[in-house]
Amino acid sequence: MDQDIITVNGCKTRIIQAGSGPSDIVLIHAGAFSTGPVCHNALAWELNMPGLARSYRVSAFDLLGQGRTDQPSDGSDYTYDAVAAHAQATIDALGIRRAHIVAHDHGAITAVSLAFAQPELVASCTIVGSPTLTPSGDNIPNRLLDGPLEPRSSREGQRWAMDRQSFTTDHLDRGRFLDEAASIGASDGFRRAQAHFTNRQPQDISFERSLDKIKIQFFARIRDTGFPTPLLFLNGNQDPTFSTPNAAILSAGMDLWSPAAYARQMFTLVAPKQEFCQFKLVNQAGYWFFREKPEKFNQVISGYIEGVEGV
Amino acid sequence: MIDGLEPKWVDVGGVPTRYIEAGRGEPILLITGGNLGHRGTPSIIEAWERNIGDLSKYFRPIAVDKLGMGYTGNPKADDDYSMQAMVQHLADFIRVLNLERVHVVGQSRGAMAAVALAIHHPERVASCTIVNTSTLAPGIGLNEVANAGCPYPPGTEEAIRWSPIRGASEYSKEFLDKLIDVWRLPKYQESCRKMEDEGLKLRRFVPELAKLKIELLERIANKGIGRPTQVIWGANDPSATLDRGLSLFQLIAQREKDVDLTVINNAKHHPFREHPELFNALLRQSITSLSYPKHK
Repeated sequence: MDQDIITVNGCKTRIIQAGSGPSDIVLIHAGAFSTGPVCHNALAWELNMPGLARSYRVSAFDLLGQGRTDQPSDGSDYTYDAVAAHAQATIDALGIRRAHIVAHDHGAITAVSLAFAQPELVASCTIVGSPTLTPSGDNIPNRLLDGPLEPRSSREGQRWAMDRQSFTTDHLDRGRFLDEAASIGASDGFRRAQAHFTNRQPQDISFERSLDKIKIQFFARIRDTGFPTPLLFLNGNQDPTFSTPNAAILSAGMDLWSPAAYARQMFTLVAPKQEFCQFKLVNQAGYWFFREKPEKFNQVISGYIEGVEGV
Repeated sequence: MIDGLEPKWVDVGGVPTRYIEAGRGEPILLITGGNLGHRGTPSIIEAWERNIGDLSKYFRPIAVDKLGMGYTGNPKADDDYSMQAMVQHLADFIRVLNLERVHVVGQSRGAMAAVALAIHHPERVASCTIVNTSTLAPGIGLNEVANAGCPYPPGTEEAIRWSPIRGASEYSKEFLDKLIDVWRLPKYQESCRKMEDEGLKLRRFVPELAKLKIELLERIANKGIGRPTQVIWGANDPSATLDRGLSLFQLIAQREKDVDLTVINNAKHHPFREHPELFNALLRQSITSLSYPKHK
């Protein structure tokens, strides 16, 4: 895997690339600025890239305001729109004209933005475990990460969160991801992002609003005209970030918010107007499915891409 | 004929058995749906015509007409008009062809046969792929509902062409013609007479099938399938509905470590015919990724 820092519209951006091949895969990590329990970054995919690189050119990069990529230069750019615009410019700077996009959780917002903005760029879209892209309902909170281990951005704090999100946990100490996440958690960039969210005016909800806007656009689009590219919803069957005890109580004991119910619901919404829509559940896997079972994940991605390209 | 492949014949316990094979490498046993002696649903291995050629680039796909189905001979005894005898015939076929270990792929009634092979003959099965099956999935199948109201008399060519489970897209005229060729065979008419007119279906086949279904679902709930398993489901199947695919997957998932579910859009009962590129790629990736030690 080759790491590099490139400048995209003045923004220093960390990229990781591996492999070669006629088809491109672009991997988009989760997280949004400093808002989550884990400092997501491109190394999240470190256990997948070597395997996928045997058949594809694989690119990952740190999203705007995360990892080793710069924070937005303007405070008004702490939005999903700015993250998506930066991602689009980065993919362009890498000379990628067409790619299979694979996105984890919040990364799905960027992925669907890319598909709307540049459908000719996106050969297919795979959404891996994304509670962020679900219909929000009344935002019944998932209590999985209540009472975090402080300090949250330390290695121990982030490890605690990842441990609770995972089905199997041996991946936590494989590779360099957690060390990198801890180092990012202690970095100036991360502190700047934290300061932005701590110090912003109460009426400044541009970040939340940008998420809402893209989701509403997504739901309208899949209902009215259809999602512009083939779409796969891929979920660990035991991803605990979906199920909430509250939701189970509110829905009279039915497991409505399980990964299976989510995948089925999203599929049902998309399927009428996008012929090439699939969903896939993988047993004994959680939120970090692609790290928990990297070989299985790569097999699923390869099988999907091969099928889409064969059509 | 598929891709210029001549069907082959082999004697399996005295039953002349027709099959098609191609390629080299790990054997994949493709098992169609349907049960013998059913006036409405003759089935033949040509169902896999969109899969065998592609799969043969990497594996050795083998499709076999089940006991009493397609061009394969009928059961020799009335007692063998059962799913159990069909499974035994498949197990004997694997032995006669001297296949060490096969990847079983079964659809509809064939999926029950595939799972029965994996559970009753584990030494011969490397992995298991289950495709749209009301026969095996928990709950009540809607075949009767989906196929209700046929405007043609049972057993006529028009009735065979009409089946809404098959749908228009995946069963071409040429393929339906092949089904009708089978339906016209004297031996097929004889099996229909035995099953439907002489009552073997209600006296023998159905009660035995229920027994096997209960046994297999109990085994799955208690121990899983015991081999890497994938469930592939066409989302728009009016008979084996998507809910039942999810139920079957979750039942397997309670005990089976290595199982996944893929739901394919715009597909009814035969996703392997409706979306062959997607289906073949799924099989190729899942089977290639298995790293089983070679069986001796």
